[in-house]
Amino acid sequence: MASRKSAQEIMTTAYDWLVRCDRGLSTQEQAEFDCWMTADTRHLGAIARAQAQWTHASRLQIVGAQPLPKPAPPPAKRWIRSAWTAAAIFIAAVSVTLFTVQRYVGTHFDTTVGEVRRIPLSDGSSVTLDTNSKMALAYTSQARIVRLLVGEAFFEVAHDPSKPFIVEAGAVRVRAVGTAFIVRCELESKVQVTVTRGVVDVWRQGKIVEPAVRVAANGRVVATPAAVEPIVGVSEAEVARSIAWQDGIIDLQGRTLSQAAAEFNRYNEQTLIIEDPVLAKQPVVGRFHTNDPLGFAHAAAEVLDARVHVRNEQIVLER
Amino acid sequence: MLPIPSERAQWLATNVLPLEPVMRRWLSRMARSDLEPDDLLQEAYAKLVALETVEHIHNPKAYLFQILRCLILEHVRRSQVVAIDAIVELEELQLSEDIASPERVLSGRQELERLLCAIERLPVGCRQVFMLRKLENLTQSEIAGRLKLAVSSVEKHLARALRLLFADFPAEEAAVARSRRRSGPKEEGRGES
Repeated sequence: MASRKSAQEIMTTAYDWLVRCDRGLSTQEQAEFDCWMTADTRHLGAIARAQAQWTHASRLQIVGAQPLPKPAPPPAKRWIRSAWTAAAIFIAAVSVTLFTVQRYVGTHFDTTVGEVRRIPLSDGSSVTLDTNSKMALAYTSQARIVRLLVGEAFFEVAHDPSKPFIVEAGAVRVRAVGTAFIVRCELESKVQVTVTRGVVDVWRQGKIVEPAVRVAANGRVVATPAAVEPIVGVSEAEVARSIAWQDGIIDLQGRTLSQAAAEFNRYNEQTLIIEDPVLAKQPVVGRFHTNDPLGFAHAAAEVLDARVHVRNEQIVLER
Repeated sequence: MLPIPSERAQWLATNVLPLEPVMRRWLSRMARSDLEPDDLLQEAYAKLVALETVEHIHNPKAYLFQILRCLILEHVRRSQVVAIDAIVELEELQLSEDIASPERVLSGRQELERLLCAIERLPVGCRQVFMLRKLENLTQSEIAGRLKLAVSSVEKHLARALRLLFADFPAEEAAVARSRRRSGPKEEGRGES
């Protein structure tokens, strides 16, 4: 075999192929790749080694190294891309525990675990439903009402002053006033509202009519059964992180490992479990794909000196 | 879509990648001119990928050693002329001190530190693309859009980064060991957070 390639040459070709695979192969490239892979057992080995290194490098995410000056922060870009001149954009989220079964008219939409779906609406608005979510539309001649029954959603609202756009999340009401905001309902009937642009009005629907709380850009309030309370010191970056799921990304800045696991578990059938209570409290950082709990588990294990066990539908992280 | 199932790639990254330096040292000490350590490692990776499952592998180091040993034996049997000294060496193909001692193996965390240092030394464009892909988790086309580059350039930068970061592993390792001795505290701070 005079033309036998050296291990280094094969490795170089393997890196080229791996990067192409990462970008997505065309049909013709796929055929070439299959051909290359079967030509020599060392090719398979080289690809495996290259992918192991590639995978390993992803674990740097959790180290949170940030020496790179960014030309433009991605959240800002995302807003520019999705902003309409006369549109209000907001996200609303509701926890399952929030609702008693209620009657509603209109159209129902839902997503399964791991699914994120964009639904265009008749008035030019659109809704992007996050994983495992349910919502019902109740458009009348006076108002556009959206009931978020389960989960989380991102709304791009076509401007129409004659028909207010109102999100109902349990007892909490959020009215878009030509603006961008996030509503996230948490456990114990908590509803968090974060405004990214303009202003919104937040109030609780009950026997007593309450005055609405007005929330301005980069402001956040939490509505509990007791009150609607402002939260101080919310950064723009924090606001941007709340909508990363739209791009299939979980941004974990400063959450604990157990909070991170809970977040991954919203998107995946495979459950991430942290048994060790000390480990569970470890803060983590990093941007991960919502559908990659295993990658996250390994990255966390590496940095926190833990081990990953995969059994059936469970990924267990332990010391 | 990457070619190897992600679960196996994760396993390899955690269990085999850190063993490479110690295995390579051992293989090069075998000093058989016709057996390249890197060839053998690639063949070993191929075998590990082909396994139905890796659940039974409780000691990856011993397992990898065993695979490499079998590969060497295969090569020796296949070769036309078997040198006497090769046979003698084969008798001594046991788990040597190098491999047995755990402190000679880089931990996953140390390997991440090595990688961070190596990334620092990448050419600027190459480093920027690699970090956006691997640390910021942007797709190649997103990177192309962000940096106003052709997708093919992004691809070239990434492949080059991989070559520079990983292909020359033993040399890198030595360089990092040297630089760590010189400027230890600075790098330590980077790893924590």
